Amino acid sequence: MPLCARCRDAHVNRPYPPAILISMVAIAAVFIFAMFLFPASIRADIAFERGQRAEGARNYNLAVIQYRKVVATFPDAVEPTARLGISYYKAGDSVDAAKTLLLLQNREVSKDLQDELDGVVKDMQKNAPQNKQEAE
Amino acid sequence: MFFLPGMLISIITFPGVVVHEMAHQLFCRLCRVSVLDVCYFRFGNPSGYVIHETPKNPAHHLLIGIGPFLVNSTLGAIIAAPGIVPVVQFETGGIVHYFLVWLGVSIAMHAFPSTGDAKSIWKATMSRECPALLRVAAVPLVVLIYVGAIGSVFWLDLIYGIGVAMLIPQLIVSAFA
Repeated sequence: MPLCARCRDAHVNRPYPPAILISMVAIAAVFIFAMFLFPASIRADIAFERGQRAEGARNYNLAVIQYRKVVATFPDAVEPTARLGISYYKAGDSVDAAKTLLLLQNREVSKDLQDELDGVVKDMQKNAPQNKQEAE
Repeated sequence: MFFLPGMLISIITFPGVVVHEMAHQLFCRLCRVSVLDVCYFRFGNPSGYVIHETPKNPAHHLLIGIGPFLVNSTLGAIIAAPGIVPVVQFETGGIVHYFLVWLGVSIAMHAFPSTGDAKSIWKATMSRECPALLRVAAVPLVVLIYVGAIGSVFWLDLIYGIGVAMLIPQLIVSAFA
């Protein structure tokens, strides 16, 4: 059925019900909040990727810098914390490595990561000054 | 694969349904097409609808049909992106991150137009008044919509929602890392 000009205008500009307007505002607020959170999340993800690359290239000092950025943003993240501890150790900083790896106590990690961490901890214990002296 | 009734999925992901219908109405307004009835959400099938007059211009028909696809995909991707990194990449998300992922994925998974939209786009673009170029553009789109509708049985809409949510962080990380 064809509509007259006035009815057409009214139907075209049919108002949104108040509940829907409130939903729109709420979604817009969440959208703005998400935009606000986004840079920190993405920076951490980029740092993790760069850390993995640096670790792969045996540039452990750079890996430490990158992983520290991730852990600063997501302190409860298991994998970046583990990688940071391992990179500290490989960069020759056993004290920070031990401190970092202690944060993983009672945390669940994947089997591969657990094996890697066990290897690092074993190495650290073997190379600890008092154990070295006893061995000599 | 377990079975969840579509109704339950609609309830869990109701923000997506509301945004989908809002997008239809918004594009009707932009194309100056009269909206005769709107239901933003209901407990039934379909869980939402917009009844509008038949647009005279087939391009408007196409725009109104795919409007939710554009709006839901963009909005869902941007809302979910900051939550996806801690939840999926680092498995350490807090309640806020899970909320963003739920909302973003809910919105994105309702991006696909319904088969009703597909039928109406098909009818409009196959009419004599429709320019050939628009017809060429509409055919793959209608096929895609049907694939989406059929695929929703196999959770394609959810897979699409998650894929869209993960896409933006992935693209940015691969570009800047």
